[in-house]
Amino acid sequence: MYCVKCGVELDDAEKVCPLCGLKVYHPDLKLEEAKKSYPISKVPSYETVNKQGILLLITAALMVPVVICILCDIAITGSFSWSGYVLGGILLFYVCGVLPAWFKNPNPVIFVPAFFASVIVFLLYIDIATGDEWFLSFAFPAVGVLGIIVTAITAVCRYVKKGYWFIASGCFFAIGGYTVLIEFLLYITFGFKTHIPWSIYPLTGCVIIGGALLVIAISKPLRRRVQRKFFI
Amino acid sequence: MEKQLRWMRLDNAAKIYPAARRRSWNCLFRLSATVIENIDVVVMQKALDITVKRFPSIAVRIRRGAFWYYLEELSTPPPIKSEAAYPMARMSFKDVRKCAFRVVCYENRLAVEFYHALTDGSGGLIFLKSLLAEYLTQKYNLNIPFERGVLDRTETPKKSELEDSFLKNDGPVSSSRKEATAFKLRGTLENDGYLNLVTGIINADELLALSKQYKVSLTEFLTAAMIYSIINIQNRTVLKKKHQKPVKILVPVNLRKIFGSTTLRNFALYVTPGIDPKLGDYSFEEIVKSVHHQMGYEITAKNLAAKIAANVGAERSLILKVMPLFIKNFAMKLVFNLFGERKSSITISNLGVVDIPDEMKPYVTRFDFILGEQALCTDACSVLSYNGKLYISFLRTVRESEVEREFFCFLRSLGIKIKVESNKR
Ligand SMILES: [Zn+2]
Repeated sequence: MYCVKCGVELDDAEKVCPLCGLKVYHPDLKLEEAKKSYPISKVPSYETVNKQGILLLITAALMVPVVICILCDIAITGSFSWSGYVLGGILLFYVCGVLPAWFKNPNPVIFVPAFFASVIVFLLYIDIATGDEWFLSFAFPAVGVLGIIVTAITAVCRYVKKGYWFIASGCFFAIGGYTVLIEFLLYITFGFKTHIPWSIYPLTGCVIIGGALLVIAISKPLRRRVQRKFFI
Repeated sequence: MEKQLRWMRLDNAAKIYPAARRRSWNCLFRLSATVIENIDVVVMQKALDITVKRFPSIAVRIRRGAFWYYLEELSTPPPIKSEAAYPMARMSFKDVRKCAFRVVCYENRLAVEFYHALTDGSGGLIFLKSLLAEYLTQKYNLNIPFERGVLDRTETPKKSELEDSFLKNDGPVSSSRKEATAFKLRGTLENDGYLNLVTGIINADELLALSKQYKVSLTEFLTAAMIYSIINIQNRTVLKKKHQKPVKILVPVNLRKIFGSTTLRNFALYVTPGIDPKLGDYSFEEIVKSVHHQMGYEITAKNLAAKIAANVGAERSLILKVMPLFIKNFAMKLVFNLFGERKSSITISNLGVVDIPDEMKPYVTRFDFILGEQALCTDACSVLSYNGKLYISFLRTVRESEVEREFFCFLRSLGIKIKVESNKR
């Protein structure tokens, strides 16, 4: 028989055209029967690494130190104390390293804030466990704001395909502002104070670079010139 | 006392295969012969037991040394296997370390699948012909002369057959290996690793006459037709001309005739004729002409010797020699992934006309040559002709039969009659 679309002759064993997938059919002619050139029934199995299996293995491997630590802790101190840090640390590692791998296409815009949120929870736990008073006034705002900045940058890089000069400039402004925030938080929590505020140096540097990038981003001829001078 | 097993180094071209292997990929190729009656597996096993002794460089397994892999003679010939739903069922590296080739019988077809580190198509064909001659001799009491690639199985192996001819034929300077990255075909991978085979059968004289019209060889003609087909595919998928990449075909070249070698190990290099569609729209005539000149320029003894020198030079450097095997593997794999197959869109391997002694001809109806899946390409194309028929096989890892359709339909539009068969599920 022939394929009406491709015009090639087909082996009698072909029920559809192997080239275009068109069904072999003729209203007046009976289809010939013939044996295929390969036994269709015997599909060889072929080894693949099971991703989920490996992830389960990693999960189980991480469980071992956690369980050992908790048991030792209870046996030695009679209560649940230092093993909480181990548990927290391993959980933190799990959230940032292993958890995204469970998903087919992990979205960083979800996993980056999730990571910062778990850092905050872990720090809160340490703060309560040690009985210190630095969480609310320092750790929470410092990590929280950093999380917002990093999440914003990842989101912009992922969803906005243009304006990389603007994004780079924004990064520098954000970093500069962040150093000021850190100095302020250090001051109100721990009372650190220097004669001249130290954050002025990184801030100035960041503002200069960020400003330069912003100018380049706005001015098209300047951008062209920079590209011409610094192409790789 | 136990017999000392013969061992030998991998030849220069073979070294890349164990290093660049992947979990699911080992470069294989298959040669098969179809005979008039169903194959008697018992007789075939006997024939194989005799034949392997004549081919100490093919009846081997791969073993690991501290600095290099090496080939070791098999202590017992391997058993004959039965056919699966597709050719070239994966041979894991564990299998290769037990036995690096397999003999598969299905109904009236005898197939041998070789790990590419052992030999190339021409070497493998001599093995297949000799095995087939031994089988036919035993089964039908024939008296087959030792000619046209059929070797005497009782003879001791010749030294010239076991040599690494690359090391003997390197030129005074090495040529640069820099090449532009080629357009890559894409598709949906079969999720269970199924390999789809489509074979087109063409009257060889008809196609030969057509390539004569264009004043080129058959390989050049097929290469040009493939470039033309892939340019069409690229035009459909990459709409902007400035984003299109060169379409290049990897064409293996048998070096035995050029350098007068009779080795049974790898002795082939490749050339990559191609067309850059950015330069404008090419007519088929222009492509044929360009391919003819590109291949004519590349395939000269001097040019090929310079290519050999580049490959051999790396092997000879002392620093590379004393590097532990695992570091060497890592480095070779990196180079292979970065440069190896990215330089071509598809491979067309043409083994040419298969000739056998006249005594065998009434018993053998057909030969096939199938090149195994490539690491980074969706398709591999292999060609061979026997008894006035040309067999063009496409083996692909993806579902879409785009290249085959484009290619065969183009030949059809030139007035060539084609018969197609497949292992489509
Ligand atoms: Zn069709």
